[in-house]
Amino acid sequence: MPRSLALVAGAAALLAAPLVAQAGPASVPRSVSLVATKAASVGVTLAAGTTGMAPIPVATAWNVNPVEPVSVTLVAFYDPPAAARSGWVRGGGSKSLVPVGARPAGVSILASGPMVVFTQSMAAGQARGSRSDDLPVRADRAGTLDLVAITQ
Amino acid sequence: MPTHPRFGAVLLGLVGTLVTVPAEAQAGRLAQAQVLSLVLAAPSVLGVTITSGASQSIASLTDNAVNGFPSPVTILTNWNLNPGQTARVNLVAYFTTPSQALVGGATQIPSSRVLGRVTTGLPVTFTAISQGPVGGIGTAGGSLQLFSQAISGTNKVATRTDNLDLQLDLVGFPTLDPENYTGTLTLQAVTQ
Repeated sequence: MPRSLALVAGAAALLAAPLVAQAGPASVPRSVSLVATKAASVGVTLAAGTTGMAPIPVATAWNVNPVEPVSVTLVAFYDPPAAARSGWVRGGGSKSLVPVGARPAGVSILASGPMVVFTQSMAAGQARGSRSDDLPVRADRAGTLDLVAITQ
Repeated sequence: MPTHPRFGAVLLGLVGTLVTVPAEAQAGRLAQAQVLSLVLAAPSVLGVTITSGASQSIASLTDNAVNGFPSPVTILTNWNLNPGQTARVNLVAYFTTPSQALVGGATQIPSSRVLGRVTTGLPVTFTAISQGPVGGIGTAGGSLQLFSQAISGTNKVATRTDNLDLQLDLVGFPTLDPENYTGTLTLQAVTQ
């Protein structure tokens, strides 16, 4: 009876697909990719309301990529540009006050030969750090002393 | 994949006994009848789809603060289940290695620092991903049960959509080096 045999074969074919496709008690896992970025930073802060001729407390802090050897340099500029060299700051290892130039326009800060307050090299393990300095200042004209911390 | 529910329904509960008979061509000889028993069970369907937010990123981490991932993970869960065999559908989020949920350089951020919230589910407020497995799914100390849905005759075939909000809690955590911190959170549904 070929018809019966065909029925058996058909039933078997019906069975095959669902048995293979049966899901287990759990779904297929799905993935969520997470990325969080911590940016390098360097900053300089002054006590609020800092004015006058007394030594200015300056705090410099940095957190940079430890695989990139760098140094931190704190430089000073005097605003407005017309008043450049009317202010003096002691730094860069000098024992006397050094004239402060104008903030450069259109060129990189370091290329303009700024008045360097300090440069601190970073050895291994110093990618994160801070330091505090008292910065002696004298000015003949009213103006603003800009302090910029740079890593390189 | 048994994507057609009617196909499974047709097969549901089918218990058959098919008897083979000798072929007509074998005239004059009669083979002994063979009995073949067939027992079919309905195929279960349980799936999870991330419809948006499969890539989460924080552009700028802040130390010693709670950092939120800006957009939720939208999760579609679908099922076609036999309520006689399945009491609940659970959705679980977990990290494979809880101590290293996110890694950047030599720094490892544990899963207890990653918080999840599903306002339509179980952790309605931000909760650390530091629970245990559910129904054998997840990792000890690195899991979070997102919802537990009871299954009955009225919702044996259904879908639901949930939003998973994520945060990275760095309060009290050591200051991070500038790096990209990466990890993978796994989502999986399981029946009980």
